[in-house]
Amino acid sequence: MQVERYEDQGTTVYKMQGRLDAHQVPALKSLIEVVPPGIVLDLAGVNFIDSTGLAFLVGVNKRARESKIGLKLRNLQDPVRLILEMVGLYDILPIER
Amino acid sequence: MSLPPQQLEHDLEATAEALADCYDRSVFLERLMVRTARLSSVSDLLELLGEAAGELGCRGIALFADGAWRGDVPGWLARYPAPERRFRERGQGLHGLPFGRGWIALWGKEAGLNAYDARIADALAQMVGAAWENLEAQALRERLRLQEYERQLAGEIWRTLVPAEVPAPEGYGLYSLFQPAREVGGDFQTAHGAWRVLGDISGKGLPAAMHSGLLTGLMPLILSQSDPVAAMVASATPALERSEVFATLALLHLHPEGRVGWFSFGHPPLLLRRRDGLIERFRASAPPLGLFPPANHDLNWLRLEPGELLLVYSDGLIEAEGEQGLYGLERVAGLLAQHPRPQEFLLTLERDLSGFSIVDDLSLQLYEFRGTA
Repeated sequence: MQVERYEDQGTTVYKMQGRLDAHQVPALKSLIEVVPPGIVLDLAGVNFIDSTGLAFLVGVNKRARESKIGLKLRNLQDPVRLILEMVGLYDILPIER
Repeated sequence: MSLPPQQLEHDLEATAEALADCYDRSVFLERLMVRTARLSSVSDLLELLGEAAGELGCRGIALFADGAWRGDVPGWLARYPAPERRFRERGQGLHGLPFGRGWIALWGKEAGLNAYDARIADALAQMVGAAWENLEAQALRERLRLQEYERQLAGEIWRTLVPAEVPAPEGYGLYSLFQPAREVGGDFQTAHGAWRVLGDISGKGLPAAMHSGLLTGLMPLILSQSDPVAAMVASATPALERSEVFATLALLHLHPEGRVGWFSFGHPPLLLRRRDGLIERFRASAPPLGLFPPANHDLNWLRLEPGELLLVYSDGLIEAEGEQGLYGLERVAGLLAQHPRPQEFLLTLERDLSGFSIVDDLSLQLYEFRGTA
């Protein structure tokens, strides 16, 4: 998984490329910082997500909510969107539409 | 010119002593080599160093390896930085002998080490360096052996907790696959009366297996409650939340006359094959267990006619990976539509999956309603 971090109008954007799965999540946990005022996870380059990846997104969402920091998931690809719909997370996670 | 007899005798004695000393040192070096090769612990190594100090006529010897002194050392020595080269410090009569991962400190020989002692000390440092690496490799092998033993034991415990098969409910045939990706897995299933459960903990390996074992153990109690959905949320959520994992789970209550109550915590769609081959899909009725409480706890209901099939499975099936992509829900639904007989469906599915790599736990329950007699 490659992660590019940049600032966009005060928001920290993490542009992710690769598989969001059990092999990648341990390294991602230290890479993705939930920093004020808000962060965006740009998932344009993510075409696979497994249950560990879903748990990671839920964990980031929880940390952001608890710290009152904005979070957006951007550019969901169809395979990821389908999985989120299947498990009932599509309407729960803050997805930019 | 010949030497006077007394001088000759003196020279001969001196030569004999030097030869004897040389022999003793050779014997010492030989023993040192043999014992170094047989060392099995750090305390063995320290004992050997103690003997070497005695042989060299030093009052003390100490070993510094991998950033720490091994054993007790005097305060004045503890402060010494690890040297890069061999050194001698006259105040304490200290000789420092570095090796790859540390150094040996020898001290307290008033006359200092002579050239012969110094060569032995150098050889000692080299042998200690090799011995230290051997001990470390040996410790690593032991750790790996212990880990392997614990892994096997965990596997045996997990297989006791999480059954590989559950019995068919009254009025149904049950055909199943249960295949953890590793020795243990996050998928789990259980049966309690007319209840059947198939679940999947996020993640893999031992952490997921500990939760799948925990949830399986809780199920008989949960399923005995008047509101099993509420009981499941209340009892499972705290442990799952603490570990930042969740469970997708399908809960079925299969009545002998074909009525099926179901609840799905974020589980992949249940597939129902009608007798005419039509496939109906029943999507999750709540988010995965451990994330957010469901809006309501009511079971959903469906009715099966004799010969109709109900398929419940974990995401390991639809996420099996092939060259052209994931196996996918549509392919599973398509196969089920083509195969009214459960055994044929399973055989075809297994054959079809052989070209795919199954990277996750895979479990599947296929219920065939047989009707009441």
